[in-house]
Amino acid sequence: MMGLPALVCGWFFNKFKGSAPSRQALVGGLVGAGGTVLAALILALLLVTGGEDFFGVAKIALVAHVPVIIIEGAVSALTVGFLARVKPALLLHAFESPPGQAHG
Amino acid sequence: MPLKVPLDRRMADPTLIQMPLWQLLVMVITPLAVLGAGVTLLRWLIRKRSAEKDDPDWSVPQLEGTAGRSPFHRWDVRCKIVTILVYSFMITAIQQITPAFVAIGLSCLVLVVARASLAKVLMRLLAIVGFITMFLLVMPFTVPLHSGDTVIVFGGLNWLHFSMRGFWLAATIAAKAVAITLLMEPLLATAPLPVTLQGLSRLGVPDMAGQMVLLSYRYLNVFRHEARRMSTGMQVRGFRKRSNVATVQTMANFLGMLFVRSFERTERVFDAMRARGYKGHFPDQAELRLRPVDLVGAGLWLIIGVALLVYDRML
Repeated sequence: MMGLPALVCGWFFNKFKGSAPSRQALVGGLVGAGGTVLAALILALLLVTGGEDFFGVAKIALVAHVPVIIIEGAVSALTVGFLARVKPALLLHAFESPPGQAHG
Repeated sequence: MPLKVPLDRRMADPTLIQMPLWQLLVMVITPLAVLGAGVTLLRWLIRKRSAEKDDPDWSVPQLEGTAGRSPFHRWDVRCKIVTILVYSFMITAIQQITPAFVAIGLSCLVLVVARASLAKVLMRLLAIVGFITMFLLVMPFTVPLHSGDTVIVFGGLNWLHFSMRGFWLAATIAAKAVAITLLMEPLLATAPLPVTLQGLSRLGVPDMAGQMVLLSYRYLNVFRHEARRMSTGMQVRGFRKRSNVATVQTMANFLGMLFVRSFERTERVFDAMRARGYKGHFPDQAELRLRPVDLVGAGLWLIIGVALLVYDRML
């Protein structure tokens, strides 16, 4: 429920991050919010499959996630922006090491 | 419109109990206040205790075995994992409230036998309390009405109906969740984590997953300490959490700095591991032996689970 959205978002971020820090921050924020959206949707879906009795709980669970989504998006946008400025290597795909500096 | 008639009929069928509005306040707010106060008190107590003792780092593997303290500590890890997981799924299949409470009783019995620490059990329960409370609060008011339901209507507010069926449904879910959560402590805390993970990998879970859990668990604590140090530093420099943009900006920088530091530490740790001959797996922590007693225990427990399910379906 939490792991799958993270994988999806990681893939999404790598696909669309571009190279400019501002674009990376924007995509990072979208992806951060998107992860929470997906998690909320999966939770609601699981609740709805429980039967008609759970519709109310599912709706409230979705609504309760809205502030979390907003905060999540803002914080991840700023965090990714910070990382893009301070240590861009962390945002590279699968931590590929910079050329000419082999490990071990 | 042919649908209209049965719908109206269905709305009329449930047994209605009228109650004045103030009883709604008493019925909903009193348990909520008691629960809230209890949770706050427990949080405070646990925080105080852990601050006093400077809680021991559970992530560091204990070198001297603590085996032999209870039947659970001696039970074979593989048997323990399979039995408790299968039993947990049996609990989720319970549909009535009484067997669910019986399951809680059994879980408490298990806790006593396993000599689990009460504080840690309570911490696990605190983790699920929010989610469970949501069910208990929301479901009685949102469950669709069926014929034969008992519904309490408060002070003529017809849209606000408290369905007893919804309440019992939510209570059953809550009881099952509590019963399973209580079992997690004997499952995870009666053997060192590396041994539990070794058992998991013997059961067919990929080795890589086990190592990821082990290392994450170890370094989660390290990074928590790092985070605590950093936040102390921020407080010393006059940072206070408020609800404004600057706080969000600072928290984002804080998180980013934590990522950077953690990543650099990870690289150093990985280099150190390779320097000491790490080749993709850790040496086995303990020799796992399956004794007949282990199997008998597992069988007995699962029989109890089946009996519980049969009792549930007979009601």
